[in-house]
Amino acid sequence: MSTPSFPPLPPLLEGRPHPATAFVKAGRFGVALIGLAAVNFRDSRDIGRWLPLVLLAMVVVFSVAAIVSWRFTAYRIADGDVRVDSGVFIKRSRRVRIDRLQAIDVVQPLFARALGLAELKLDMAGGSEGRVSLAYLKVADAQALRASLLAMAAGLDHRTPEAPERPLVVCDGTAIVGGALLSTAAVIGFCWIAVFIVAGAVNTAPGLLAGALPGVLSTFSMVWRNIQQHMGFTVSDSPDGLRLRHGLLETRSQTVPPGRVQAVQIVQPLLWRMFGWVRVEANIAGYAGHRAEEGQHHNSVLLPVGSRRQALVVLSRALPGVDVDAIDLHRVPARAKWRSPLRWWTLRAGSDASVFAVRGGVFTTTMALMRHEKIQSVRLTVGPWQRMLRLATVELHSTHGPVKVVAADRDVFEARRILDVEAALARQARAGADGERWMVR
Amino acid sequence: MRVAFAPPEAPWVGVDAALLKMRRTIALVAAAIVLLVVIVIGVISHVWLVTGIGVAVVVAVLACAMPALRRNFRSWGYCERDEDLLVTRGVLFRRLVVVPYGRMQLVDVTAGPFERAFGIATVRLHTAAAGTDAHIRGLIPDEAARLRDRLAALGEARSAGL
Repeated sequence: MSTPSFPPLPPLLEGRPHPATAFVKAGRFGVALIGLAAVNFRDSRDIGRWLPLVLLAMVVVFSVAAIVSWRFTAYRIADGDVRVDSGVFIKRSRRVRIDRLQAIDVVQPLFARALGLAELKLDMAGGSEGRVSLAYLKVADAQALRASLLAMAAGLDHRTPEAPERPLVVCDGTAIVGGALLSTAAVIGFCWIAVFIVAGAVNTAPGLLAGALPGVLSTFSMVWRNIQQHMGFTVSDSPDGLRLRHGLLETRSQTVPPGRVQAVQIVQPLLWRMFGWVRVEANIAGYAGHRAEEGQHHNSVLLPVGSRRQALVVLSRALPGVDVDAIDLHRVPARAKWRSPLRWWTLRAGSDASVFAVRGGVFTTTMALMRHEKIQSVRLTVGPWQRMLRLATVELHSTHGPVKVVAADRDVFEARRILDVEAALARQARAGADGERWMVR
Repeated sequence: MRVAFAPPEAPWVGVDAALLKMRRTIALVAAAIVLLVVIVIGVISHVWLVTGIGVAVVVAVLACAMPALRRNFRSWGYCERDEDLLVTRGVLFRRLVVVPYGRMQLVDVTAGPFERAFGIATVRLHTAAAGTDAHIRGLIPDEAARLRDRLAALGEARSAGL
């Protein structure tokens, strides 16, 4: 793992964020503050008189803080790692190894986008603690830096030009809007609203209509968030790995280097079936941990909505050499209906030379795939009810993410065989399957 | 069912009897405290029927808990193979976890105040997956330290990134 010696680094790889960073940060804070104040102090007249002054003071204080914090932030890329120093009172120096990079995102929130700035997010294994953010840089600088980092992670010279990319799949705008409106959560939300409206109309009770308001707000904000995040979703292929670009207001360009995808699933909610739409999600180690911070699994999505053919194209890049339709999937024994009366007939599990696959679900069908060498651990469980039916559940553990590979209600002997075989395959295949410095291996 | 949880090659290595002793002691102390409270309330309120039922319930729970603790203690087992570690536990919900050494990120040895009083420790294995809940309770400290060192060494030797 020793790093080859490169000539002295050009100034691009050492510096501090763009001076306008403070402005962007203070601006975002200011907008949020004014919104908050408008909602909370609208009615109280006493405070209302002082409100503009208080707001102004807060914005000034925050701007000064943002400028000071900008002044004390510096990054440096050398010797195979990225270092970010920050903090005024409590100094913080964070250093991450480039060859352990799991993914790189270039994110442009609306405010930064207007100023031609972008944030570079480096995702390492280890959840939110393993994330390094360089905010904000000029878009061109951010892209150049990303290219250098990816080249270094691949084991090449940092001056290697950005790898060419070839678009694989471009999501259809109507499919994204339709998919967001017909997602299971949105449909449940709409039904909930409809119930209130009908109940309110029947009883002529306007109070019930007001009761629907939180449901309306949360449902529409969820639908809007989905559309905002996924609009214009483009999946491209490059030697650096999969590149995902998406976003309506806040744009995001994610790069997932080869071999970083831990597990994949193809999901189809009930109402998507009439259009043949599916969603592709993946577990990527660097994207763990900060799901809560950014809401949902949105940066684990490889394809938000698309046809099955498009999904297979994406899958062929995320799991090269795997033929999804050729995997031999087996049903669970019929006695499993006593434990899982609704879904027992949908449950399937099987494997081929490179992956283990499970499928199931009555309303939302999910097919999860995981390479044998990506298995972290295997667990066999038998509950009291399963014991009577001689059934067992096998779970293949992956890194944190939306994909869970669980083969439920298998026959006990089959379950034990899966456990033994997967444990053996996991250690065999692991030997030559490392993703570090993929270009020089 | 027994075949599904059969040991792979060598028999399961059980854990130290101090774990059972510790759990029984904790159960007895807890029952004694509850019993004391029930009796004190009885003495104050003179509602002897309710107090009698309370005492009976505590005794019944304790009578069920003692054999259950023994069965649970017996269900614990682990097996070190060349390439992975197997851990099994549980009576009602039986579990068997296989962790390849190359996947281990870190190994923890912990001992709470009760565990220390009874001279045992817990070894916990962590992988990059949050779902891996492989831990072995009731190890005597020497064995816990040996296991920790061996697992850490093997983990390093066979480590394979993500």
